[in-house]
Amino acid sequence: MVNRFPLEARGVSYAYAPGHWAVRNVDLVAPAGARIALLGANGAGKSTLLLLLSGAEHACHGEIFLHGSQAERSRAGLRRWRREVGLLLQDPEDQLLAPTVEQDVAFGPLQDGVEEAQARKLVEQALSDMAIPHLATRPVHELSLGEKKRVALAGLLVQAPAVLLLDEPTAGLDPGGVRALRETLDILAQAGTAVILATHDVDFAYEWASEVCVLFQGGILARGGPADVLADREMLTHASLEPPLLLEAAMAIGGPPPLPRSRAEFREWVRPATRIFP
Amino acid sequence: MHVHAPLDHIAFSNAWRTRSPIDKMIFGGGLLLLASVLPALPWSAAIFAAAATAALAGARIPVRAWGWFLAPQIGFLSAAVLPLILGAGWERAAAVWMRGAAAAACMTLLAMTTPAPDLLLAARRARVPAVLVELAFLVYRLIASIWVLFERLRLGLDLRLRGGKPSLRAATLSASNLLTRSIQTARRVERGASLRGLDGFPMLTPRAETSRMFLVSAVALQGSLLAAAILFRSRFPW
Repeated sequence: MVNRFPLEARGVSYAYAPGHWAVRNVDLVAPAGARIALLGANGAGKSTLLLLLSGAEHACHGEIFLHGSQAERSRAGLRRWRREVGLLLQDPEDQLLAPTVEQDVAFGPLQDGVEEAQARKLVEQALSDMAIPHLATRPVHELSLGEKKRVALAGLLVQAPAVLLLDEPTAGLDPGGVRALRETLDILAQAGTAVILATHDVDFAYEWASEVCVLFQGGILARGGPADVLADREMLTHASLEPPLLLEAAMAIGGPPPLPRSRAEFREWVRPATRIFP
Repeated sequence: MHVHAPLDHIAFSNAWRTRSPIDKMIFGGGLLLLASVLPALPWSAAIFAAAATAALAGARIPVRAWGWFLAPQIGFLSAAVLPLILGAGWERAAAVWMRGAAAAACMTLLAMTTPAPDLLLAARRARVPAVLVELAFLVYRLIASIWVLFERLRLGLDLRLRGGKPSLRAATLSASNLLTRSIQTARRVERGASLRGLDGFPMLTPRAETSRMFLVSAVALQGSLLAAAILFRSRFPW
C-alpha cells in the first residue's frame, strides 16, 4: 500500500534504562513537503526521537512506517530505511567518514552501486546545490563547522531521501549560515522532501515550520501551527522554552492578524500602526 | 590555532597536490633508489639537492616547514652514525650519513606532497586488499578527529594555565581526558558510519592523471645522475 506519508510513527516509546523513558508514546506524521519542528529543552527526547525515526535506535514500543509499509530492521530493510530517511547529526564530524569532501559525498551513491561516472555527476550536483563546489578536494577535517554541516547535508541529499531529519541544525552557525540553511530547507520542502528538525531555537522554528511539536520529558506536550502553539507562554515556560521574540513583540503591539513570521513580515506589519520603521 | 596536523595540511595544500601520486612516487622513489646504489660522495649530495629543489621550488613547500620535518630525521640519523665513527671509521660513517640524509629528503618530498588518502587510493589501485585500505581510511579519519580534539584540549589547558607550563598532574589529567574523549569520538563515528549504512568503502578513482612531461623529466633527471655516476666512476668509485 502506498499512502501520502513518507514517514509515520505510531505510539513510539524508547527507554535508555528500565523505567527511564526518553521518548513516550509519540505519534508523528510527516507528509511530503512537511516542515515539522520538534521543540524542547535539553533532555526532552528530541534527539532520541530522531534516532528512532532514522532507524538508528530500535523503539521499545510502537511502529514506524515508510510510505505506508512498516519499516523493517532486517539488513535490506535498514538499507532501504537509510536511503529513504536521512539524518543530519548535531555534530557533523560524527558522520563524515571519507577523507575528502567529494569522496564523502560520493560514499552513499557508490555504496548503493551507482556507476562511478554517474556518482561523480550526482556529487557535483549535490555540492553545487549546497553552494560548496569549491570544497570538493578539501580534507573534511580542515573545514569549519558550517562547511562540515553543508558537506554532511550534501552527503544526505545526494541520495534524494524522502524524509530529512536534522538535529539542532542551527547550533553553532552564524546568521548567514542559518539563512543559507533555511533557504536550502525551503527548496527541499518545496520539492516534496518532508523535513523534520529538532531544535530549541524557537525563533527559527516559528519562522520556518508549518507544524511544531513541543516535547517535554519524552512526550508531546503540544502540537499545531507555530503561531498557535508558540503563543502559549505558560506551556512554553513549563517546557523550559520561551516564546519567539518576534511573536511576543507582535502580540505586545497588538496589531491585526495574521501575525508576522519573519523580520521582513514584521517590518511590513508594524509600519502602518507605529511608523517606527521609516 | 592549528586544527589539523601540519604535515597533513601541507600535503593537501602544496603546489603538487593535484599531481598524480604515481608521478610523485616515480620521482621520489627513483631518487631514493639512486641514493641507495650510487656512491655517497658526491651523488647523495646531488640527490639531496634535487629532492630539496623539487620540494621547495617545485611543490613550493615553505622552507621552515620542510626543515622542521627533515631536522628530526637528520638528528636521528646523526645519533645513529656516531657509533659507526668508532667502529668503521669516519669515512664510512659519513657515507652512511649522506645516503641516509638523501633518502630522508626523498621520503620527506613524497610525504609532504602526497596526502595519505591519495597514497591509500594508489595502494587500492595496486591491488592491496580492500579491507586493509578501507580500515586505513577509517583510521585516518579517526586520527584527524582526535587531532582536532587534541588541539581543543591543548587550547583549553593553555587558557586555564594562562600560558604557564603544565604540571605533571595537569598533563596527566589532560592525557586521560583525551583518551576518554577519543573513545567517545570513536563511538560517535561508529554510530555515524552505521547511520550511513557503512558496508565496505567504495571510493571515487582519483582525477589526477599521470603527466608524460613530468615523468619524462623525472626519468631524465634520474638518468642524468646515473650517467654522470658511470662517467665519473674512476674519480668516484662504486
